[in-house]
Amino acid sequence: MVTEVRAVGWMGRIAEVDLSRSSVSFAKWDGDDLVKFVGGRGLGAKMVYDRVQPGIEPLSPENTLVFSVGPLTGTAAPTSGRYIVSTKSPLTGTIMDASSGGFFGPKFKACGLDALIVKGRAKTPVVLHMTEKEIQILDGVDRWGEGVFETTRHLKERFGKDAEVACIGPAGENLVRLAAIMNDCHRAAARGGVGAVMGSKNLKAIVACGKMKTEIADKERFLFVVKESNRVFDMHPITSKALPRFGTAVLVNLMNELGVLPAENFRSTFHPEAENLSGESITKKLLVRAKSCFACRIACGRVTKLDGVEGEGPEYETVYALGSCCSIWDLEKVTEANYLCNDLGLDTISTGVTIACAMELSERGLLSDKVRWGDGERMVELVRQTALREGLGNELAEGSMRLATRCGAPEVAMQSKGLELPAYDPRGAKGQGLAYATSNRGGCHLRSYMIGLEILGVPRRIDRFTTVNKAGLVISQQNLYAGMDTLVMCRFTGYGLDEDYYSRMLSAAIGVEYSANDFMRVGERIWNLERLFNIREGFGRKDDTLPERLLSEPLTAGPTKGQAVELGPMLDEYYRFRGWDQNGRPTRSVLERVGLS
Amino acid sequence: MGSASLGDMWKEISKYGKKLHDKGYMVSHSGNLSVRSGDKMHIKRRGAAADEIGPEDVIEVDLFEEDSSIVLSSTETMVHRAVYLETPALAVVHAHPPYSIVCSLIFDEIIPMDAEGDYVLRKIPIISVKEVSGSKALEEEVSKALKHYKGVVVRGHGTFAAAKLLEEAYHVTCMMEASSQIRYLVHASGIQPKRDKTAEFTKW
Repeated sequence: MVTEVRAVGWMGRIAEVDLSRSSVSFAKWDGDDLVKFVGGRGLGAKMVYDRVQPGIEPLSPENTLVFSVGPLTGTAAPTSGRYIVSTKSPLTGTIMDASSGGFFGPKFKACGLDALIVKGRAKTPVVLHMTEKEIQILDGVDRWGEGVFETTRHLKERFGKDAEVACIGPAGENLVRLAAIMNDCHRAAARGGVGAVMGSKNLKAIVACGKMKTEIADKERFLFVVKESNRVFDMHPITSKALPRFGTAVLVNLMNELGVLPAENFRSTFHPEAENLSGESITKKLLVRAKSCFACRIACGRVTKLDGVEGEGPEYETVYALGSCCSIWDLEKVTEANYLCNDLGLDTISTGVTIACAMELSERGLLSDKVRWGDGERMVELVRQTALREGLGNELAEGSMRLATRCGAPEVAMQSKGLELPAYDPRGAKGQGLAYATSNRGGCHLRSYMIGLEILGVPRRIDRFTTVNKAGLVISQQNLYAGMDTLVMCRFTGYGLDEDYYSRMLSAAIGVEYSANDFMRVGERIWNLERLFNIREGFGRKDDTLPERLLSEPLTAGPTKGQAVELGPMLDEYYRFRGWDQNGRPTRSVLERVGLS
Repeated sequence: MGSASLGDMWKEISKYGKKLHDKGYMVSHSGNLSVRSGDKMHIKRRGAAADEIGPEDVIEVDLFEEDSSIVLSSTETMVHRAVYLETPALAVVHAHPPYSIVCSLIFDEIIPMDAEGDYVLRKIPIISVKEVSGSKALEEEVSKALKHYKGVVVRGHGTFAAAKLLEEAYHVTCMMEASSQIRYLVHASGIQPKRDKTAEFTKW
């Protein structure tokens, strides 16, 4: 049975572009899918699950790339400027979604679209130009080879300053498995090589020029919940003070002092020079001004200036990956590499962690090239070489797992399911270890941010070293975050809001009532669907793990000395709480409960 | 009885049982608290003193199927179960804080008048059921209210608070009582308050 749902909040329309056939078609959303998957990541997961055949090569024309937004995108809801890109990842082989802030999402939705499906491969490079009336496939040959900044400038000159551009840089063109899709020049849908998938389709850029507004079902109720949500942000010290004042790198000193900031490829978690990379240092040395994304009052973005050149960043994750993980404590070098990653279209996390992997392989004599710890000049050069697949960069472009495996030392790659780990050593926050291991897209802090509970005390601090009762909390966050990604809202709203606020905003926007539990059930449904995709691709319990270093090499110094992650018991509990079997397969009863049977 | 999966969870339940008792929100053996663990919950045993909860005073109960654990578990076990099945909660506290109960006898809902209360709670619904303890109606009404609110007061009986952490459910219980106390005292003073968000938050 198809539920009749009015397209309020949603635009009610999906576009499909087949680049092999140079065709564009439009379709309505199916009513049941609207209610079950809501939008954004849910919509992307459903489309990728339905359309991507098992075992296909992610960089082949058979792969599908889905851009999607949610019912709150482009509205007054806080942080409602985000969009999601979903596909099968060339880095991990799992289902992948990457999201990005800025201003592209609302402009995309204003073209009257909830999602854009891109399949096939164009014969020559193309650019998609979208308005509310049509989608044109335009020649993109002149843009091929350009950096992100130049491409964005050219396309804005051509289509007007109100146009918003999402594009790839040379990294995506060269099918680098760490390639991002960039918008607003400096904002990245970064993870899992989504930029390489776009490059494999010969799609250089998408230009969105829509003008349609999102209709809200109950404006008075909606604006009341939005007002109360903003009041929460204004009162919460993290969203009202820490992030606006120092950006995300406000976490550097705290994580370092607690022994959670990974250094030297996770061989240590505390370093006296970490202060150089802190939010305070960025503010003093580089900051021009704070910057907000669409409808955001947090303003964690950093407009910075280095050697007379204005750019954005670095973020906390970037100073870790290109800095502490490589033992580089020179903020200027990290910032230079960050700017370069943005222009070349690279994920800073995966790029930095892969370079750190190369440094350790080199130290062990397993790599013919010499790459020394702390060599900032070399790091910057390797960023460029990676995007262009030159020299050693050609190997780095494959990511840390493939690099370390080829060198005969897979344990040196700090990854889970092939995705390079983010900036929190789970030996100092055990629940975060479970979150990395069970993440459907690989090692990631945005599927479940146990750091909130284990370190930051949001909403309450819990024992970070125990493994007891962490599974339930990880699952709860995974379901909640999957729900947030359907709307599509920034993770930082979670510092103050919970499923109650999200479900109220959603209900008011679309005129269909979701309780907090309904909202969490949407997230659980998405999580199980993503898991089914991965199982279909051969993933299972063996892949729900962490690098051996984190499991069996206790830290020898610092505040987390003696700690390792006891993953096994947490994983058993996790499967049981999820209602999965001991191999991590969802049982029939769970699939029935979440509406996937 | 305590189960293998209980681990140290009883200590957490014991800690907050003692806190609630010491604040006078759980009088002697009354009230109960529980934590969800997947498809089970761990709940205070019926008749266990709130300030002396030991490992054998915490009972494991299946959330989806009835079993013999109901012989020992709390009188309000079915309410806790209903809350877990209808909300994303991972912890539930049921207490008998005096000002919350007083307010439930006077008002139809409690809108906090203090800044902390309206920030955390927005609104505290009050529900009224014929059988205020262990009834099907109580299960339904409490779980329904907690779908949309952090805490609820059962008229003439006590509070239920739901959260992801036991500490958070304890916090909500304390906030409900503090906000109820302030509202009652303002009400008792007979003086028109200079700050009142009732009109705004009654819509929440």
